[in-house]
Amino acid sequence: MLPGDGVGPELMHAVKEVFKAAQVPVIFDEHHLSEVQNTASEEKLDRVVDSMKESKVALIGKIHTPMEYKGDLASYDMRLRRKLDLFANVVHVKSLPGYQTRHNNLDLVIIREQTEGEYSSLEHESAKGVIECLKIITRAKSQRIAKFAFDYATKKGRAKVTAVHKANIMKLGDGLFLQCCKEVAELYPKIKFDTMIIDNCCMQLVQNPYQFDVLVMPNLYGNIVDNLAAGLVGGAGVVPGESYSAEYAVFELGDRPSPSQVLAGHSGASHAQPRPCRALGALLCLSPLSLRAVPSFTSPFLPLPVLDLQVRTRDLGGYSTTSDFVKSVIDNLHPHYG
Amino acid sequence: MVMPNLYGNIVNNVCAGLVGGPGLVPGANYGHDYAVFETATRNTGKSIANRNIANPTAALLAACMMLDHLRLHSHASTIRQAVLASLDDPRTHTPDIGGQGTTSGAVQSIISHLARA
Repeated sequence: MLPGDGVGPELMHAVKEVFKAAQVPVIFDEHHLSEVQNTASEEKLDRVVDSMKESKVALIGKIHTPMEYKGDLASYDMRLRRKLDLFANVVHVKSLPGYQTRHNNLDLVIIREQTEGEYSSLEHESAKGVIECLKIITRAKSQRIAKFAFDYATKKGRAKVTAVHKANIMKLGDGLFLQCCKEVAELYPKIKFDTMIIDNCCMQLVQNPYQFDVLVMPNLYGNIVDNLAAGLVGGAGVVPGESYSAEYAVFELGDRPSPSQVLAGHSGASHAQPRPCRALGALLCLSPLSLRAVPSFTSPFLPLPVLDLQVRTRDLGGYSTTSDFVKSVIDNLHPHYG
Repeated sequence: MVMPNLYGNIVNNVCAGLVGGPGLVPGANYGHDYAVFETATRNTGKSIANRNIANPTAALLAACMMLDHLRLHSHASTIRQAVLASLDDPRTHTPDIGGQGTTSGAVQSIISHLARA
């Protein structure tokens, strides 16, 4: 368990409380890795990786990436993902029953390559006042994420995979990504394959998101589309995320909150709304997912978060606090025990 | 909002989607010497070309921005008002905004509003 920064620790606490009430047979090995709190180092990172080698599964809050350049272009968050080779980020965007938004009954899955692309951390000042920032696209990683997307679609019984790109402009980079997706698609004749340019995709998501099923894309577009889609169903507070490598599974928030939201937790800013409420629903949603990943645990029985008006947190227009919400979830657990 | 190239491309499209889509939003491009006016989201519209169903609103509003740039303000306002007034009538709406009208129908409606101005 990596609580991280901002609301992370409170959300982790909430998960632990609910797990305890539900008597979930999981022990958390906690590691406090944070760049902003200065508890990040290479040794700490290695300790987390060692722990992961045993457990294989992690639950994380948010390890905030500060804006300042302190000498390393890659953040700890990115470095952790690379060390664990968490190449696939999956965000399953599903409308919540009982919470109306502009578009209801949404059910789409966004698969994002998250170890290369625009986040390769390769930048330099080639001439004074001119920065070159390298976006890396490789055949190997593009094929890997495309295969992951089609395997996911097959396993979950989804009908279509749409590759999102900007190959008309980045002809070589996104062109390669697109080519790899097309090649992999041919190996899965039962799944429909489609492509769409990122700008049009974003417009379509806002106007007619129902046309999408599974989407696969490189790093930056995935980051943007994750957030856009999460906004469609209620925001950061209600969408969980999963990250996978060949060996590990990490469960976290679907859209990672903005710095101000994260830092509000630190500065104790009283003018800000109590941010803890956000993202709680997301983490409780993902708990059943993480439980399924624990080999010995067979039946996830945690109920969906209660979304009655009385218990909605502020991000959903209610007045509940984090602890009210947790209590409500725990109360809802008890009917399951005869 | 101000931003670099790619983010601008994406945000343009998201925001155009929020207000009704590519048929409604005009755009402008400026440099030291030249100004170029066009639709905001620059869609080719291959699938709707030559079928008399394209929405002329975005292009007309872009043309009004050009007129303002050329300091032909009264022409710009007159045409802009006619375009907006015409949009009040759902019968002139093209399919992209939920109607069954045609491009030529929309243009005729705008021209008749001009005649009344």
